[in-house]
Amino acid sequence: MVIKVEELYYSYGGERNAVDGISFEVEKGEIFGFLGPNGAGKSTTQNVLTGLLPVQKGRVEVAGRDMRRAGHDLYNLIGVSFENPNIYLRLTGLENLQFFASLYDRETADPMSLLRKVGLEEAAHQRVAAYSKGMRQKLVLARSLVNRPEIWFLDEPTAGLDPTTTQWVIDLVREKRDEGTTVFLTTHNMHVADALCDRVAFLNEGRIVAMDTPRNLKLRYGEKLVTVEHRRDGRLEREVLSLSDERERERLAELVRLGRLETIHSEEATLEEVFIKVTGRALQ
Amino acid sequence: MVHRFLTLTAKDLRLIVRGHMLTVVVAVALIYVGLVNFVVPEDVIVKPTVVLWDQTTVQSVRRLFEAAVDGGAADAEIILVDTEAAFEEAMAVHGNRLGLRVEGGETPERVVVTYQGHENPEVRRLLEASLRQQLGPLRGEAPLTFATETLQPGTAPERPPFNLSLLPILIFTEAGMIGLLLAAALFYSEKTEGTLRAYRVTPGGLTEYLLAKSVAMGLLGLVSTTIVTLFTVGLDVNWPAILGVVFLSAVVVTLVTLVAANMFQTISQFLFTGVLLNLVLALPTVSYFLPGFAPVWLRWLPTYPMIFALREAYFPTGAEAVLTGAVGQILLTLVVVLPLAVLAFRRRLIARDV
Repeated sequence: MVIKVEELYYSYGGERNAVDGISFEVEKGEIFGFLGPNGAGKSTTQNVLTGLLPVQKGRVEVAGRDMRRAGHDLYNLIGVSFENPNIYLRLTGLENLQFFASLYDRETADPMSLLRKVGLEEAAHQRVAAYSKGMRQKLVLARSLVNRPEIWFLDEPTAGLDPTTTQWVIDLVREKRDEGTTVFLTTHNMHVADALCDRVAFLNEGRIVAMDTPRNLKLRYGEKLVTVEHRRDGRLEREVLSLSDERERERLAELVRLGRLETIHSEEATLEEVFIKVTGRALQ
Repeated sequence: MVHRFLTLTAKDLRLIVRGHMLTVVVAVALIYVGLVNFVVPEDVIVKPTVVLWDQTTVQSVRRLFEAAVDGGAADAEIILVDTEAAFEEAMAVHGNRLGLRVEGGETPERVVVTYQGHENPEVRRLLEASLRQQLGPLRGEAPLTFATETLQPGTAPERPPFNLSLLPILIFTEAGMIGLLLAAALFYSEKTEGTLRAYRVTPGGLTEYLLAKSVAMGLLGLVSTTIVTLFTVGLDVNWPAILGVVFLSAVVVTLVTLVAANMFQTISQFLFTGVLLNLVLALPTVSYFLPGFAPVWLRWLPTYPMIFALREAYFPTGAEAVLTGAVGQILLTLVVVLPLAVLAFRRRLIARDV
């Protein structure tokens, strides 16, 4: 296990714990999604895992190190991409990466190669203040990879990005996973989580309410539906039938038997629908 | 660690230049050069008080002075005494008083000018020439003898001109106190950008982070000091001492500033405390102008030794101990403040996840 969390609690001093006794493990090379709406405790958990917040109660191990005693050398092994693009606006993209690369005690990636990889080669010598939001997000992602991390923490890496850039981020994460990097992804974008994650944990009000592969969650909590199109009196009709309901199963059998079916599609529930079913609340 | 410290310093210097802080510092330095060279006079004319003890029977000098004052020809206040004890007592009341003792029988034979000791040679020469001209004819053909005595010889045999005597204060103000505001501005720009948070998930520590900022501010202080010094007193000063004191002072003031700034989320929240801190740290300038005012608490302010070390470095009196003592006190402050700053940052950053 590269991340091991046991009975983690975190409180900012309010009535309710921001993180309320969660436990989970992440295996090497896995993309683990931490999903939940704003205020669910996702970022707090990630901040504890990355040492930005202390472990108040419980046990947290990252890369084999107890986070209560982890030293600065841990940061040679992990990369953290923040939701808000926190970069030096008065430095150029290249200067930003060169500066951060110089802080590590291990061999780092070539800053220019990283900029090329994220499509910022031409803007390398421009000050970041002139970058668009998408460019800044790409630079933050590049920075989090500068030390060739073994564990990559991504906090809402696609927030506010256009669909093309979002797809580019998804491809980049897959590529790093294929290279053996473990990815801890915090997001409330269920589409991204569904496309990327080997396993996901649903977080609601500081607690993990479900944790499994996206497929298993959808099978367990989602309704199995079939959408059929058939002709009656020359008119095309469309019906959505649940395979869990006996009467609707019989209706489907009848349509098959009568030979009136024109199209038939099975429909899975989305992760978002599963989340709503499990928690009773929407993600946004 | 050294490599990280150097990288951090280089980054801070780059931000200082691109944030126009260097421009501000150079502009202020040039304004100071203009002030010292063209605005502030070399000597401030203060109406002197003359303690006159005319021992002659005809009191001709006394009458001459009284007539001059009454007629508006002499711009001085006269205190008349008639005993040695009264003379000494009157001279001791204020360090700005000059003594004039006229010796003789019926007519004046000898005039003794009594100085406090801090008057500069030019002022002395001017005064003596004026007295010779005014009092010389009183004795007719026989020459009047002139003598001088100094109450506290060696207190300031070569007192610098007034405009240059402001240099330690101006250097202290720019290198130290402007550093306070610029260090806060640099810190808050990183806080606002969130780059401090990004730094926290690297192997870089807080000691390097704080030292780099302080050293960058120290180097900025050297730039302004070099400009002001070069264009006012020139090359013939104790450069290593001046630059050393300025650098160490700026480092200490920056660290103190960062500890204070760390307690506030935004620069506007810090503003009141920043101004207050500025005022408190600038209090030793009072002692510079009024040496008699130097309570113990004031001497413990980290800026106190800075000002007096700068004065000794610019206008050496031979009191090496002032310089070495001050440097020692600044270094001691640094040794105490640095770990405190690291501790304060660690507690605050982790508690607030900055």
